Order: sequence, then structure tokens, then C-alpha cells
Amino acid sequence: MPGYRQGASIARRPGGCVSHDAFLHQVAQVAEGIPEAGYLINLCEDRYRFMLSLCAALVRDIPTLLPPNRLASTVRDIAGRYPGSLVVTDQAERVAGLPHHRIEEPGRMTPAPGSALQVPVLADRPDAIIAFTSGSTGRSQPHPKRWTDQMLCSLRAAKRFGIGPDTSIVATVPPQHMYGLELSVFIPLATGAATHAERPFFPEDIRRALAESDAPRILVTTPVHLDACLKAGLAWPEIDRTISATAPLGEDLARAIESALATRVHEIYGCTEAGSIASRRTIECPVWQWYDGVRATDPEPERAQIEADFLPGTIPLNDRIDLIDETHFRLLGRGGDMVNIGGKRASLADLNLTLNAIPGVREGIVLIPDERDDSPGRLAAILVAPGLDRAELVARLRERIDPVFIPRRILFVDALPRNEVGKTPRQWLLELLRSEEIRRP
Amino acid sequence: METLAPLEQEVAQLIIETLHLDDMQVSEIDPTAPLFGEGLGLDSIDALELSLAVTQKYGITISSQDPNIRSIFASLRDLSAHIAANRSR
Repeated sequence: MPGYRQGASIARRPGGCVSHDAFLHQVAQVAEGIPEAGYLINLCEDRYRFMLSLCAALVRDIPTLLPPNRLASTVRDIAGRYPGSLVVTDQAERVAGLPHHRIEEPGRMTPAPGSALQVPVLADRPDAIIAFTSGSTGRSQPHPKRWTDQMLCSLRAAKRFGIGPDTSIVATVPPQHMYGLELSVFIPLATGAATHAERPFFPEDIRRALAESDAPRILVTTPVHLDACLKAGLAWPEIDRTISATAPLGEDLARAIESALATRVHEIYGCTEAGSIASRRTIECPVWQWYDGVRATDPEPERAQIEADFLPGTIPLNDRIDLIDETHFRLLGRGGDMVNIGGKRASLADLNLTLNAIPGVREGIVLIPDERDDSPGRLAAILVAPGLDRAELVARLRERIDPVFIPRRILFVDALPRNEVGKTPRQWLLELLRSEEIRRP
Repeated sequence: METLAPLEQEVAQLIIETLHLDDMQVSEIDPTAPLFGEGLGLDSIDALELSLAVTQKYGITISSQDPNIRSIFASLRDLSAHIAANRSR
């Protein structure tokens, strides 16, 4: 653990701070308690218990699987593909049909009397951590990672944002998400910074978690939460830096946040395949700067691929990018197929497959209604489904996709607008939505 | 379905406006049906947006520390009752 310092804290929990030494003892205890397993699916919600379980898995040399969401169908699908999967959780709820191991409240774990701290030797397997993205085939795609690579990537992020052993981190994103994993779990392991174990949700929760943490504070969050914080009208403690990712942050929102929360707002650029790889201070310039160690090339104009000393190979990027020099680039456009809502990512192709697979749906299209809006807008759907109503459709969708991707506007039509070659031009679909809006009182 | 009390009507309108449930009418919201999960099918981002609207309109700060947090958003009736009991404007 590169960030280890005797006496320092690694996490802040309701009962107080957890020291690095207590953490290492508890990792050993959790590691001993985990039954034999081929893989661990880490569903812990408490960030500290997630961290304990992750490190215990490393000690036991068992790969950790990080599902893209908590839906039972997703977890079961992944478990089915990784034989011997065991769900580790700190919650009472169970995914039917899968074995579970409960991670107890660490306060109840008592260190064995006189037990000396054994520093474990960890294997460096290429699949120590497997993150998942949704792929175009409708199944989650695995992206295996070495923990050492993850550690190096997080050190680069820490250097970029001036995060050190005295920093406190409060994150509103889940630790299972790559962004949350790097910023709120691996940065503490790599630098010794302390992470808040909670995942604050409402603006008042975020304010309280920050107030409980010692300065200098870093807030790791998303545009959705920042927008809510701005409008909540609270008095904020000093926040050294605010980091946003998962969706584009408007420059106006960034400026308003900097002024209202007296902080510096940075955005991170990355993807599940590569992790975080670049950043910018939103109000200063539209240009992004790669992390140290990242090298980008563009074999085709606007199609970049990257290598990094913390990545196993070359990774093509989904977005359109203009390379300015060795360290800077402009983001020209997001990959057309991917949608990001509230820190969750899905492909439109997948969502369309899901919608069209619902019994009663003759044909349907899921679309992003308005691209001019920088805020993470919700999806809309236009479909031909005589016999289905909104409630029934939403109920069927809920069984299959994460609720954030359920279309907010649902328009039932007699036929989809098609052009002469049978395609459904996006512009026509948008006009259809707009005319529907005007028609309604 | 039961008829809505005046505050419930107001809160139902707030929910529809805040969450852009364009194709719903106030009269379609069952006051006792769950707002999240089944029922209206709202999710966590909706909860954030709705909490903000409630804060701005009624001057109530919503926090997960509130022991009643789960019941506040349970249904339109519960939310309206919470607003009635705690509103400062």
C-alpha cells in the first residue's frame, strides 16, 4: 500500500476515523472470512466495506467483478459467465439463486490479541479487477485490470489534482463505477488520503459529509449533483477542488459552482476501458490535458487511440478527438451511441434492442431528446405498441434496464416516421416529440 | 382512485412539472401509490430533482439523516404530509 502512513486515517465512518493500521488488520480478517470462490462480485455500498472487500480479494488472489449496475438480472448474468462467483455485500437484500457473503460492520471485528501486522504479498494478475461496460451485443463487456495499473493511474490523477496524504475525499459516485473506484478507493490506497465511507446523496448530505471531513477537501461528483448543490442554497465548507465526470459539465454551471462553493472545478475525461486519462479546469479552457504517461496517436483524423504506462495495450477512444500537441487535445464530440445519465452508461443500441424485445412493442426507438442541453437530459421513446400503455411499458423496462435509462417522455404513435429509404431520421423524431409538446396544454 | 386534497394536488403538479412527466395529469396520480419503483417508476435522480423542488418551493431541507427519509417519498400523500408538517413557506 504505497500510501501507508502509521497513525494516518484511510476512511471516515459514522463511528470515527479508521487508521491505516486498523484497515490492514481488518483486510486480513475479511480475507480470512471469505469462503472459497472463483470470483467475488463486490456489491458493498459502504465505501469502506467495499475497500475492505476489494483488498481482501487481492490478498486471497480472487478477481473482483464490478457490475455496471445493481439490477438482479445484471448480477445474475455476470455470475453466469464467471463460474464460482460469490456476491459480497453489506446489505440485507439478496440476488436470488446466488451465494452471498456478508461483510460485517468492521467495528465489530476485534483484532486478535497481540496480532502483529503481516504485510501481505499480492499477486499481480491481469484480471484482479474486472469492470464492465454495456456493449453493442446487449451484454456487459468485461474490462480486466491489474491492481498495480490501477494504483499507477490513480497516482497520476492524484498528482494532477494535488491530492496527498492530508486530503479528505467525499464522493457521490458508487465505488463500483471506474470513476468512483479510482478517485475514492484507489487514490486513498495510493496516497494515504482519507475517503468518506458514505455516498452522500441530497445536497444537505453532501454538505454534511464535507463538513465532517478535514480540509483540504476534494468533492468527487457528477453534473447532476453539482446542479442540485448549486440550487440548494446551503452554506458550504471550504472545498479545495471539485471533480466532475460521467457527463459533460456546462461552462456556466462550472463557473456558478466555483463562485457559490468557493472551489476549483475540474472535469475528468476517461472511459471504462481506459479509466481516467485526462482532465481540464472547465472555466479556464476547452482544451484537455492527458495525464502523465498517456500517449495519444490518431491513425485516422478525429479517431484517436491511446497508450499509457498504466494500460496493458492500445485503446481506441469512442469520442471524436483533435490532437493539438503531445499533451493536449480538443474533444469534438462524444461517441454517438453511448449515453451517460447520472454516472451510468449504456449504449443506445442496447436500449433499442431491449425496447424492441418487449412483448407488444412492434417497433420503437429510444433517443436523446435534446443535445443543446448540457444537463444530463433524460431519454425519450417513440414507439408503435397497440395494447401497451405507459405503466405497463415502464414496468417491463424496469425488469430489464437500470431505471435511469427508462425514457421520461414516451410517445405512442401509429407508425414511425420513415424516409424513402426506410430510415427514421433523428430530426423527424425530434420534430415529432416537439409537436407533441406543443399540442399538449 | 381517491380524490386529492388541495396540497396533494399542488404537490402532484410540482412532481409533474419538476420531472417533466409530460404525458401525465394530476388526476392520474394515485395519492397512496409508491412514487419510486413501481407506481410512478421514479428513480434516484428524480428524487434529487424532486427534493430540490420541495426545498425551493416550501423551504424544507431534505437529508438522508432524517429518520423518516424513506417514508417522506413513499407516496404523494406521505410527501404532502411531510411538507404540511415542516414547511417554512
